[in-house]
Amino acid sequence: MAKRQQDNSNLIFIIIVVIVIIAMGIVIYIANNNANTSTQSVNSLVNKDNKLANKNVLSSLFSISLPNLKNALNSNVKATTTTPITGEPLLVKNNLPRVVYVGADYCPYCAAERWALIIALSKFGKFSNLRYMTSSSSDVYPSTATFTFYKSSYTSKYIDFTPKETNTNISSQGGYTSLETLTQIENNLINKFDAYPYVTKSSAGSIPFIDIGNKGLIVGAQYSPQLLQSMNWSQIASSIANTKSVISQNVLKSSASIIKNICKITNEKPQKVCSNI
Amino acid sequence: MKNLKKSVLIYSIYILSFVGILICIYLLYAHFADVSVACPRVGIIDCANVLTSQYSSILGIPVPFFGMAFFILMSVFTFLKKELYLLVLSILGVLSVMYLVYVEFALIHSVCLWCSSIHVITLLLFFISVYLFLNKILTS
Repeated sequence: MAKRQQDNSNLIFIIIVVIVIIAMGIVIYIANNNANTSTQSVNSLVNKDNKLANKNVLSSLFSISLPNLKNALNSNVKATTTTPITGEPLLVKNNLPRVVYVGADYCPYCAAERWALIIALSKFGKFSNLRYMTSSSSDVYPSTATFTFYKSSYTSKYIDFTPKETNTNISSQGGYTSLETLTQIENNLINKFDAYPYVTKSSAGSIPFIDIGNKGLIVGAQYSPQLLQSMNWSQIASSIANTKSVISQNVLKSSASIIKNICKITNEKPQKVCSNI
Repeated sequence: MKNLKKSVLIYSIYILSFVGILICIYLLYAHFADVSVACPRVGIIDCANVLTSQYSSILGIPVPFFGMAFFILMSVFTFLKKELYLLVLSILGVLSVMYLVYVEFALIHSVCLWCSSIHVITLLLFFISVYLFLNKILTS
């Protein structure tokens, strides 16, 4: 009798253990299915190169609030901020202060910086035809999910934004296939500002190169592309929207710095942006 | 033999709870000192993303604090031989684990290894609590 009760007790215990283990498995299965996205393999990231960016992903970036950007500016994360340029005339194109970007599809640092740059520029104008891109699969921080400015367009009442992606992410003869060529003005800017003493001698010629009206300078990424590794676009956008995440703090701090510098060249316009950052 | 087995299980609760408390203290230290925890960033594993997310605190109180309270209570109930209380508390623990695991996968898209170790400890404590409770019913 006692042995039977013991056996029943053991059986009940085993059943409970099995039920709980199965329940945990079901929870994980449901969680994965309900996730906005699941972790993508590198191949599936690369397969999206040059495809139009998902509207929800872009909408998530464009709707980052100014208070969140302002708060990020004061965070303690290691993201560097824009280097001021002094004594130079305002860079202008089409009667608007000009923001110049020079990068390349293969470049992992450009991959990181574009997230911050797109968020910042969305406060001053509108992007269209932004396409997905991944950085080189054979470079450091391989296949970092990002966008390409190639074939995109940007319209704004406040600034002229002229991005150039000089190379693709496709290897060719020890480098990468050419994409867009720089104008003489763009080359002159790089020769002057992407060089000592504006940058260290060791980082001269680096990309991304971002000249904010000849008043602010960014060479290289403001935060490490490591933060974005093994994540697809939806995951990165989701992390950026989570203001307590390390990714968000780094990207938004970088973005806020760009916004502040653009405000300087637009005479603090638009007011609703510049007075709230 | 039966008493030895019960003693082993009871000491297991103390040891598991102690380990759980140590991990919670480490996570609380990392939270308040604003330092990174020792954790690889590989694939879905990203402790920083989990521990700095909006889900890392409840009503402003860091989740590891609740974990520490859970493990302390488990030890107290074990000492007081309150098998029913152990069972109820451990059920709450398992339900919390299910919620936190769901949040990690579905909402944060990252897994924290330290949190996962707490989850495993909680599950083990639950299984032991169930066994002790059934054993008490059997002997009474």
